[in-house]
Amino acid sequence: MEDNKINMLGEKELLRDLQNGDKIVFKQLFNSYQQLVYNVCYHMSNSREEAEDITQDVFIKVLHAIASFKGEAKLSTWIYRIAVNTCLKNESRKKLNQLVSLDFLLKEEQSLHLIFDPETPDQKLEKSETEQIVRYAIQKLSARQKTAVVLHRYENLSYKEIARVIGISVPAVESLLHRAKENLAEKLKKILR
Amino acid sequence: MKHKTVRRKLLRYLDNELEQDELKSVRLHLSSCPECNNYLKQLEKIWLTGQHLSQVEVPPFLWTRLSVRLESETEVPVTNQFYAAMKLFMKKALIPTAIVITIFSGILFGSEMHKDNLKGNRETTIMQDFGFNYFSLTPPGYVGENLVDFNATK
Ligand SMILES: [Zn+2]
Repeated sequence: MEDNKINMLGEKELLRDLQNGDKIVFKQLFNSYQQLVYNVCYHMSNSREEAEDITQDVFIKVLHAIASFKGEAKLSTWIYRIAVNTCLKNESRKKLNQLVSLDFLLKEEQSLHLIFDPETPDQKLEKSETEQIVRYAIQKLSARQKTAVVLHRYENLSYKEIARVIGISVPAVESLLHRAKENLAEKLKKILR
Repeated sequence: MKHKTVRRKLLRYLDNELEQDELKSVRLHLSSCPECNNYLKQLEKIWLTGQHLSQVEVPPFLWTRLSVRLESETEVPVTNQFYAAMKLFMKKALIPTAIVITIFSGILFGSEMHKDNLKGNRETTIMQDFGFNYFSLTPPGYVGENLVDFNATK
């Protein structure tokens, strides 16, 4: 959908203007892709606060790297790739920081508390709490499995598109999602116990 | 099939992704296992309901925050600003001043040398002007060997 908006402007023209540092065109690009980027960042990090920071990082990277974009992939695929990579880098930095500060045990406890927060209003419970459980379990997957699940479940990307974003073959995506869902079923069992 | 093996396949079962033989085995197990059936119901509730909650509301003022960050990134950091100012000062003021000083001291020195040649006694003029012999940095009163020789040839 976002690509259609950009197509109306003419992707080549848009790229040329972006590569020339046109700020108005960059804002158009931001408006077209902010939902996509924020969505991915939110589901990859499971935190609104982090998603907001990472979304900004993603657009700064897009701005800096736009000159190297040759148009071989769809613009959305390229932006998805930057978003996913930025999320994964942020995650490994966070893990390292937690390990250094040794507060990962506390974080773990807080995350579980968040899921089963007794103060969550009843009316919100059904959808938001069950979805929180799924999102929490997704966070426990390996980086690749998580990426594949987020792109498949929340972005509704086809196996082909996921393959392009991650840079693997379609059968590899199939097997990645296959393993991810089996692991997820296992992790959800532990959480729902 | 074991409980654990079946449980692991339940999300793929819900997404209709199981192969024919897997599907047969899972169905057979589910028909006789209340525990796995119960888990399937739980999974169905959380896995299939959340699938359509994909769009998350983008926080307001995201563009404003991004713009502020972009502007602060394009600003030169304080340490760089200092070096930039120094560089500009060197270029605009210090180097031309140094050139002017060099030219004037050259003229001055040249005219003094000219006076020396006219008087025929370089050492005396230097000693008079600076109080000591600055070529060898020796105190007043001491006359270097070369200069002695120089005088001697005179
Ligand atoms: Zn069973």
